[in-house]
Formats: sequence, C-alpha cells, structure tokens
Amino acid sequence: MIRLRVLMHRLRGLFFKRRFERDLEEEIRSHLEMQVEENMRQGMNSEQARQAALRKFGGVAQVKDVYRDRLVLTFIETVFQDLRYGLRMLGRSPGWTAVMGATLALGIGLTTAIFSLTYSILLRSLPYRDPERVVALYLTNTTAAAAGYLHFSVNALNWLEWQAQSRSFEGIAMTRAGANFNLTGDVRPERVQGARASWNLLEVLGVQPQLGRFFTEEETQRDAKLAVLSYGFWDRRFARDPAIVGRRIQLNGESFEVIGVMPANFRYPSNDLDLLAPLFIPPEQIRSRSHFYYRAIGRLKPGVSLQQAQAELSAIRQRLAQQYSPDSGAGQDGAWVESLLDSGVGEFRTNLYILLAAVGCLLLIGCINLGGMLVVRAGARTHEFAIRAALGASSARLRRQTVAEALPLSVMGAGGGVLLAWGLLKVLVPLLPSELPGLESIGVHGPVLAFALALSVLVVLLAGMLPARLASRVQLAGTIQQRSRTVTGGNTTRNMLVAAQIAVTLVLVFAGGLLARSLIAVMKVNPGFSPQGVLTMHLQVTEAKYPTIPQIADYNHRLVARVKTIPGVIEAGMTNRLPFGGTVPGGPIELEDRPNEAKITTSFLSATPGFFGAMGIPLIRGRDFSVQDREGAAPVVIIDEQLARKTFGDADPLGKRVRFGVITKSTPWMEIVGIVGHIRTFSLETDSIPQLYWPEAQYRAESQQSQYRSALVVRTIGRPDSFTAAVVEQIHQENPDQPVYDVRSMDDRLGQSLQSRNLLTGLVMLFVGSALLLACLGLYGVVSYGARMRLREFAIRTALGAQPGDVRRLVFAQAIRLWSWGSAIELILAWPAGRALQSQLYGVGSADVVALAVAPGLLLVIALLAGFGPASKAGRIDPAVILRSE
Amino acid sequence: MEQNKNELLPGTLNLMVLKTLDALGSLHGYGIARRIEQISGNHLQLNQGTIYPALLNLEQMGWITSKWGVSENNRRAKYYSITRAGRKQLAAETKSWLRMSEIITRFLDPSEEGL
Repeated sequence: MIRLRVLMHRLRGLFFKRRFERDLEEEIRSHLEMQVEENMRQGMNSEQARQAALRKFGGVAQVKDVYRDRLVLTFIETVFQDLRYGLRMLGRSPGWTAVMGATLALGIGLTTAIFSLTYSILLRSLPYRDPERVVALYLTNTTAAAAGYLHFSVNALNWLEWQAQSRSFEGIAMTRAGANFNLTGDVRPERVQGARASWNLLEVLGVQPQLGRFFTEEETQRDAKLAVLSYGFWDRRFARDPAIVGRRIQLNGESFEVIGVMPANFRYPSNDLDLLAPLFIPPEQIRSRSHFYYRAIGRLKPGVSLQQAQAELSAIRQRLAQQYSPDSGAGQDGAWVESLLDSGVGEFRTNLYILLAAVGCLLLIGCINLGGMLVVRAGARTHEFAIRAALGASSARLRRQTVAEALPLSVMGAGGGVLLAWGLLKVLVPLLPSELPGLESIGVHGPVLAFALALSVLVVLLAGMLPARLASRVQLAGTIQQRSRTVTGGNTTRNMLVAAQIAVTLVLVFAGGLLARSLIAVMKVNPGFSPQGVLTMHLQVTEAKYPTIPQIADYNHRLVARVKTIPGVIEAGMTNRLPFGGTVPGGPIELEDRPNEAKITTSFLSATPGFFGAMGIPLIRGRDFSVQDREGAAPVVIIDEQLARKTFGDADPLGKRVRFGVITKSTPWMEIVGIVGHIRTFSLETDSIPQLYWPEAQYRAESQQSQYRSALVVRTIGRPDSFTAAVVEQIHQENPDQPVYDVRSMDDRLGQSLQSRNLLTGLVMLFVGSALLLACLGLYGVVSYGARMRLREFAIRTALGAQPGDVRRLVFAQAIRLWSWGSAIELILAWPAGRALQSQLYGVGSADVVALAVAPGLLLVIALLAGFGPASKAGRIDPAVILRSE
Repeated sequence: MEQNKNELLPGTLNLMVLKTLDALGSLHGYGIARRIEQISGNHLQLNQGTIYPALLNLEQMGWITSKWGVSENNRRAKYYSITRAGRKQLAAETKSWLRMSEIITRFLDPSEEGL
C-alpha cells in the first residue's frame, strides 16, 4: 500500500520533475537565508554568516542529488535519458538512420504482411460452433488414387448410408456447391451463385439464420421451392430489406419463397455464395450410385478423433461396395476425413509455410545487417564508452544504454513496416485464390499490429545485443591510452554473422531459382488447345423457358449463329465445362465389343459443332459434330487421342461403340465418329484423364436437378476483350433475359490457374531481391569497416613496399573468404530447402544444378562489388598521412 | 571534542522529524533542523541539508504533508505538518525505538550479569 503510494508520488515526480526541483532550490535558498540571518544576529558579518550557513547545511549539490534520486524512479529516468540520447544520435547521422530504419522496415513489413495472411487464413478459427469438430468428408479409391485423384466428392448413396450407420458424428450434411440460378423477374437478370443444401447443414455447422429460418427435412424431400439468402446477396440485391422473408423471387424461371437470411460471416460452401436452396435427391440418382459431386461435412461427437471417424466411414463404404458390386475390380474404396479449415486451405497451406520460411530468412538477414551497422557505430564510439566506464558506469548500464539507443529504431521499423505491410496487402489480397477461407479478414488489425511491434522490438533487441556485448567488454585502460586501431573482440563474431547472412541469402536465392524455373516450365506446358484470341463466358439457359433438349439445342444454335456474324469472329461453339474451371463430370465408360475390360475413367464434356475449332483443339481423325447430330439421330461421340490409345491401342476406334455416364439397360450405344487432341482440363501442371465429348443437341448427360452449366467459346482475330460488348449484345438480341457471366479471355483463365504459383514465385522473388540488397549492404559494411580498421596495417605494408594491388587483394580476400564460408554453408542447407519445396516444383529437381550454381555466382558478383569500393580506397592510401595521424 | 558529536543512527532522522512536527505543528525545513539541533543540545553531527531528502521521503510515505507559506520574517518557505498516518507511524516507531533502546541499554548495563 505504502509502496504503491511512493510509486505514485515518484511517477508524479517524473512528470513534474522541473517543478519539484525548482521548489527544492527555493526551499534551500530560504533555509540558507534564515540561517544567515540567525548567524548575523549572533554577531557575524555577512560573509562569515554565509560561510557558516553553507558549512552547516552540508553539500548543496549532494543534497540535490539524493533528493532527485528519491524524487523519481531512477531506472525509468535513465531509460528516458538513453532514449533521448539515442534519438539525438540517430538524428545526428540521418544517412545511417535512414539505412537502418529502411532495413528494419523492409524486414518487418514483409514479415508482417505474410503473418497477416497466415493469421487470417490458418490461425483464425472458422465462424462455427466448436469449429474443430467440423470436418470435411471425402471418398477414396485405390484405382482413382493411382490416377492422381487422392480423394473425391461424395455421392448421395454414401451420404445416406453414413448418416444411417455411423456413430462418430452428431450429423452429416451434404451440399451441392455451384448450383447456380438465373435470377429473373422484376430485377436485372443475373446469374446467382447458389448451392443446394441438406436440411441439417446449419445444425452441423452450428449456426443460426440471422432472419427467418432454414429448410426442414420434409421440405427438402418434396423439393420445396425455398431460398435462404446470404447476407451479401441480401445486402447487394435487396438493400437489407427486413421484409424479405416471405417474398418470392424468380430462379430459373420458377418462383422461390425467401424464408431466411444468413449472418454476414456465413460463407459456406463458397466465399461468393448468394443463396441456398433445399437439396432434393431424385430416387433414381440414389439407385444409380453415381453423381459423385456432393460436398459432405460432418460434426464429430465430442472426443471422436479424425482417425476413428475415417476408419468407421471407410468400413461402411467397403460394406456398401461388397453389397452392390462385390467383384467389379474397381479398386478398394475408403473414406477421407479432414478438418474443414484444412480442406478449405488445401494446398495453399504449403505456400504459406514456404512464404513464412522465406520471409523469416529475410528478417534474419535484416537483423544481422542491423546488428552489423550498430556494431560499426559502437566501434566508432569505443573511446566514449571507455571514458564512461572510467567515470563509473557499470557494464550493465552501458549495455542498457546501447539497447535503449536502438529502441527508437524499432519504433521506426515498426511504423515503416506496418505501412509497407498495409501497401503490400492491398496489392496481394486481390491476387489470392478467392476460395480461401478468411480472405475478408486479412488486413492490418490489432493482432497484426501487435505482431509488427513485438517483432520490431525483438529484432532491435537482438541486433542491439551485439554492440552491447562489445561495449561491456571494452578494456578501459587500453582503449583510452592507445586509441587502439586494431579491431579486437567481435571481429570473429561479425565475420561469422556475415557468413551466415550470405548462406541464408544463398538458400533464398536457390529456392527462388527453383520456383522461377518451375514457373517457366509450367508456362511452357502445351494445354492441348490454343488460348490466344479466345473469348469465353458462361451462359445458362433458363430451363423453365426451354424445357426440352431440342428447344435448348435450337436456342444455343441461334446464339452461336448470331455470334458468328460478328466481324472478326472466326469460330464459336459451346460446351458444358471450360478448361481450368474446376471439376469436370466423369466416370467409367463401357465398350460394346469388350464388356469385361477394366473401365477407364473418363471426363464427359459436351460440345457443339464448331467447339473444337473455337478452342483450337485439333481434329485428328474422323469428323466434327454437325447440326444433324440431334436428339433422334444415331447417337455419336468424339473421343480424345489418349482415350483412343488407352482403349483401342493400335486398332481403329472409328465406328466402335461406347456407353458412358449413368449406364442402365436402356442406355444406348454411341458410335465414335471422331478423334481429337487431348487437353489439360484441370491445370497446366497436372495431366487430365482422357476425354469424351458428346453432342450437346443429342443427349442430356446430367439431370435437370443437378447443376448444368453452359459456356460459350469464341475464337476471334485480335484482342478477345474487345469483342465482349458485341458478343453480349448479340446474345441479348436473341434473349434480353439471358444472364451472361464470368466473361473472360481464355488467356485470363489460364493465368488464373497459375495464380497461386505466380503469387508464390513473385513473392519469393521479391524476398530474394530484398535479401540480395540487404546482403549487399551487409557485405559492403563489413568489408569497408574491416578495411578502415586495417588502414594502419595497410599503411605500414605500403611503406615497406607493398603495391596498391597487394593491398587491394587483401581487402578482396576478406570479401571472398566471407563468400566462400557462406557458400559452403549454403551447400549444406540447400538440400533440405529443396526437399521442403518439392511439392511446389515442376519440371525441375529439388537439387537443380542450375539453381544451385546461380545462387553463389550471383553472390560472388555482389561480394566483389562490395569489396570494390573499400579495396580501391585502400589501394590509394598515403602511408605518410595515415601513420602521422596517429 | 569530535567524539562528543555523534553520528546519526540510520532511520532516526525520520523519527526525529516526525516527533518535531508532532510537538510543534506546522514548521519549515530550517525550523525542523534547528529544533533537532536544539533538542540534541548540539551533540548531533547533522548536515542540515540531509533533512530535505528525509522530508521528501516522509511525504511520499504519506506521513507528512507540505504547503508553501510565509515565515515570521516574511520569507516564502515550505511548511510541513504531520498527518494522521504520520502520528500512527510515530507512535509505532517510538514504541519500537524505546523497546530497542531498552534492550541495548540492558545489554550494555555493567550491573547485569549478562550473556
């Protein structure tokens, strides 16, 4: 209690120190005057009286000192003193300060930006109740795994059986993402991003609608026309109208009743979700055991682990396989369970780890640089420190002073760093894959600010410890007497640090080299079609308006014919899936003449006449689809060369018949009429499974209920973007109610499939560039400092007959020595670094010789450049001047 | 002669200041110093200046308060007075001091068969 009061008093003393000191002075003055008067009354003259009074009082200065010590918190006071002193020192050499501040800000800024990404994407928990218990469920199959599909989406039968039999879950919900709708009616036509959801979705996630309610089980089973809006859609389209519940909207030409609105942070199953509708599963689809396109999520019961749940679901799935097709030879079935967060972040997690590691290296380099610069400055002040020590400053006090002097730097670093991070994030966030969770919360906010500040202080303290250690080691007498010119303690430490810095830089350069070479290799991949000059867009026919296949075919035909009239359009066609647009429907195909053969998993794509021409997919043999390939005509398909090779080998596939999709007794055999080139449909980096095309006018591969998409491909002469307006205008002349969305050039789609890789490579290159800059500065600093410290030695050597070239060589030798040490360490570190990057490499080995050689080569140039200035200066010295100056 | 001047025991200055203020009410630094000298019959070697850090200390403890005033010969001076907490502290310290000095006295008394 009393201690607290003293503390408060002293704090007050800290702030009103001047006033307290003035008071004391006045008190002492009046005290002395009273004593003088008293003395004079006793008969002394005024001078005697003054002398006696002072004698009696004791040392005025000492009293003030003791008083001052008790007045304030001495520790804080001296820290403030040191800070003030530090600020003055920084202000005195603005060049140094700017370089140090910029180094720090660069390191802190980049690290903070990457931390912000990591924090928002990986560390923040999803906005659901007990989010760690919400898991994503997938299917696995050994045959599919061999083809590169480690896990895939669920079908209705698996979901129902899991629901009925599993004991690990409180509930399992299923959604059909990307079940998009054409919104028409009294509003501007728009394609809205919808999803079909099972009735228990919100129970599994543990969230409540903000307004209204969710569907019931009964409503789902009778396919009720109900919609629950996302907050974003409610805000965008209905201005957050509180009376929205109960209103009707036109979706795909049918009237849906809005029954609820979700909260703002609800973003399942996709970030851009507009609305949810009940997931109705037609009974025939359950029986068919196909349609593997649902996303399943479950809520684990408390205490159930992922492994337990996965084992149980696998067992159920295997029983199911036994029951339906005991000897299909289709590989072993299983289940895959992972946390919902992991499933959302996916591969991007690796990218974040790589970026964190890279930026950590950069920060380390910056830290060493800063330490080096502080040492150089401390070196220049050895004399001052020695005198302070001689006057009684303890070594702890000196150490504290060097650290406190460095603290203003950390404030500069944190400030500059936060600004840099803010700017970088502005650029970065739009470049991130839009399906990542937590994107909306990326920014410079509380935790990120705290991180930047803490990091900055930590870095400066670490960097400041180096000169502090040197300062406390100062040998008094020696320093003051000799003004010693030779560098003593810290030289080895400093060289080691710079070698370490070179090594870390080299590892970064090596990693950057690997990634850059991978990117180049990926960009060289031939996708199987030619994207240049191609404009693409999605347009989904409103099914209520065109209910039959011939009607849709005629409609599409009219659209394509109109588009082809635009001058500059070479060819146009339609398909159900554009390349690089996500998953493609697929499954096994059956051959008429070889019924018992292992079925090859194939993608099923639709095409209209002209599609292959518009895409630039070469027709290898046979014919393209024609307008005669309609419903009622003999069913035909076109296969790609990969399927032709895999199924028929050297035999001629033309004229052979196949069946695909949901195969029943009544499924007709379709004749192969053409063979086209194989394309990459998923990404440039991974090869796709074989492809089979069916004429869109002939057959509907997907049921009405499932998501049916339609895309237009237009090959133009010139820049595809410039044709957008004309194409959209032609479509709207045919049908003003037709929503057209996702209009982009094919090059753009290709670019987007490289988005993560571009981003990763770009950022790592940015870090590499920064690291090289810092390493250059660091090397230069150490070499030039070393040269300066050895001027006397050089002068003596020159006086004894050494040529300028010899002296220069000495300076270069130091730079080369540091470089070779760094390179040696790099060679050791490169192997694990390359291994860690493995998953992100393409067309280049993790121990790529080129990348391995480029890094030290680059650094050697930098080392020589760094040595050049100091060396030529050392070569020009005049021994007479140097030696006399001592 | 110097032997007669005694060094101040640590802690005792505070006690003397408190006692002085308790006896005389509000008083300035000089007055306190003079009073201590008078009471001790000039047997104490006291640098008058040391009284000021002691006063600051007591004030920080909350045992005395200070305020600026005007002395008898029209000079501005800071007047100190004891607080209630100070009186309590004085009573406690007086008691412990008396007990301690009694022990020391008994210890040193030649008439006792000590140890």
